[in-house]
Amino acid sequence: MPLHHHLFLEETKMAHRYPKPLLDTLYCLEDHIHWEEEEQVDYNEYSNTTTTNTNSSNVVLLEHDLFWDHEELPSLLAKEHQNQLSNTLLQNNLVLASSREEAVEWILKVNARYSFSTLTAVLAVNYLDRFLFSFRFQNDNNDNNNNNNPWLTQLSAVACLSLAAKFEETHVPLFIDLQLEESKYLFEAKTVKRMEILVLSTLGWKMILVTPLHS
Amino acid sequence: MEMEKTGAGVAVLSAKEAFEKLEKVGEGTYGKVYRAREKATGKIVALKKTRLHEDQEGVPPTTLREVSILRMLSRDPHVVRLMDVKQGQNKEGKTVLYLVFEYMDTDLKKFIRSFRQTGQSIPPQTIKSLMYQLCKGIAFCHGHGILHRDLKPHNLLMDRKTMMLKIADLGLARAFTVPIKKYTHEILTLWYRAPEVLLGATHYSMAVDIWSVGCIFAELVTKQALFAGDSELQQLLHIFRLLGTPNEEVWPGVSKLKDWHEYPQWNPKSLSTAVPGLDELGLDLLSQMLEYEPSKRISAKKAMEHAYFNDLDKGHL
Repeated sequence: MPLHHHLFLEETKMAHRYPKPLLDTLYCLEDHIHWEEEEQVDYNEYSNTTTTNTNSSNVVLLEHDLFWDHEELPSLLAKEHQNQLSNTLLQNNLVLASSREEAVEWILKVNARYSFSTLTAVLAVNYLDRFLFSFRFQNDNNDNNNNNNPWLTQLSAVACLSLAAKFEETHVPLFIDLQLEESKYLFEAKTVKRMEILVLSTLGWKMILVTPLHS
Repeated sequence: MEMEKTGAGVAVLSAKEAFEKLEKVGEGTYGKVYRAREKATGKIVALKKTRLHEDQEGVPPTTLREVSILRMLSRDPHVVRLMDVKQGQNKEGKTVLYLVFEYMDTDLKKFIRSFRQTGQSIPPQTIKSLMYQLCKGIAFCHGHGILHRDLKPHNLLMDRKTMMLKIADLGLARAFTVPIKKYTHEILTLWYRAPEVLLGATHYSMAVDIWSVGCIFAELVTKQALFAGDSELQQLLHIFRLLGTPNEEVWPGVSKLKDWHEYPQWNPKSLSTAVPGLDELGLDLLSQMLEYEPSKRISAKKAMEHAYFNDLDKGHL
C-alpha cells in the first residue's frame, strides 16, 4: 500500500471521528505520527507473509488474535454509540468549544512529552468530550453557570489524561508532573483526585473505547 | 469552594447507609473484601473496599481497569458480576470506593483443598464441567480484547450448590490493542506463569492465559500445583523437567528472549507421568494448552470445541 494513500486513509478515519481542531493539532505531532506509521507498515508486512518471521517483526500477532467471531462487531458497534453525542454540544457553545480546543491541545502536548501512545490521547479526548457533554447536560437542567468556567475544562482535561494514562500506559507521572506543560492553571493533587472520581462516576466507569486502533 | 459545589451535584448514597457488613472474607491488593447485606433488598453481596487515601495520585490503575473491564464483561455468566460502584468515607474521613459484586460462597482454591483434605479425587465430570466454564469465560474475555493475566484457582469463584464457576479479580487485566504493547513483567502468580513471561518476553498475548488454564486443569486432576517453583528460575526448571528444555526447533525464537541463558538439558516426559488419572482426550487438550510456542497454544474458543468436552451436557453452562 502506498504510504501517502495510507496516510490519507488515517486522516479520513480521524476526520470522521473528531472535529477539525483535533486534526489541526495533530499536524504538530508529525514525528510521532511518523513513528506510528512505521509500526503500521510492520503490521501490514506481517499480515502478508505466509510464514511467521518472528526475528524481524516487532509486531507479535498470534493467528487467533486476528480472527473475529460473530459477537465482536455488534459489541464494538454498541460501544461506538456512546461516543457520538459530543459534537452537537460544541456547535452550540463557542466559549466551551474554545476552552475545549485549548484543553485538547494541552492533552496532545503532554502526550507527546511523555511519549504516550496515540491511543492514550484518543482515550483522554473521548473522556473529556463525554464528560463535558454529560456535565453540561446536568447543569442545563440545574440552570446554573458552571458550564462556562474555563478552569473546569482544564481540570477535566488533567483528570481525563491521568485516567487515560492509568488505563493504557505502564508508567504514569504524578499529577504535578503531568501539569508541567504550561497552562493557565495548576491544580493540587487532591483536586485532580476528586475530579477523577467525578469523571468516572459521570461516565459510569465506562472507560473502554472503540477506536480505529482496535481494528 | 467551587470544587465542593461541583462535587455536591452528584448524589451518592453512602455505602454505610446502603449495606450492613457481615464479615470480612478476604484481603485484596488494595483492600478488604466483605460479605454484606444490601439493606434495601436483603440481598447478600461481596463488597470490595478500595482505599484511596494511601494513593495520593487518585484512583489506582488496577481499580480503574477492573471496574471498566467488568462494566464491559459482566453480562457473561462466567465473569463475576459487578453490580455497582459506591463512594463512601472511612473513619478518618478519607474517600473509599466500594465495588459491589454478586456473592459467591467459595473459590477453586478452597474447593481443591477440600478434596485434598479428604483424600478423594474430584469427580471427572465435575472437572470437565469446571474446565468448560473456565474456557468459555476466558473465550468471552479474549473475544472482547481482554487479557486476564492472573488466572489462578483463588481468582475463580464458585457456587458450591450449582457448581457454577466465575472469573474474578480482573484488576491486572488489560484491554489489548494492535500492536500489543509492552506490559509490566512481574505480574502473574509464579506457578501459573507462562514460560515466555518467565523468559522476559514483554510482548505477549492471550496465550499467557491459556498456559494458566492448562496449569489449573492439571491441578484439578491431581489436587497439587503442576509447576510449583519458588523463584523464576525454579519455575522454569520445573517446566523444563517435564516438557523438556526448549530449543529453537520446538520453539523458534526462544534463545533470543531477554532472560534466556544456558539451562540443563532435559528430554520431554509424557504428561501422563505428571497428571495420572486424566484420560487420553484430556491429556491431548492439556498438551495443547502447554505448548511452548505461544502462537501454537490452543485458543480458549478452540479448546471449547475439543473432543474432551463431547460427552459434557453443556445445555445449562
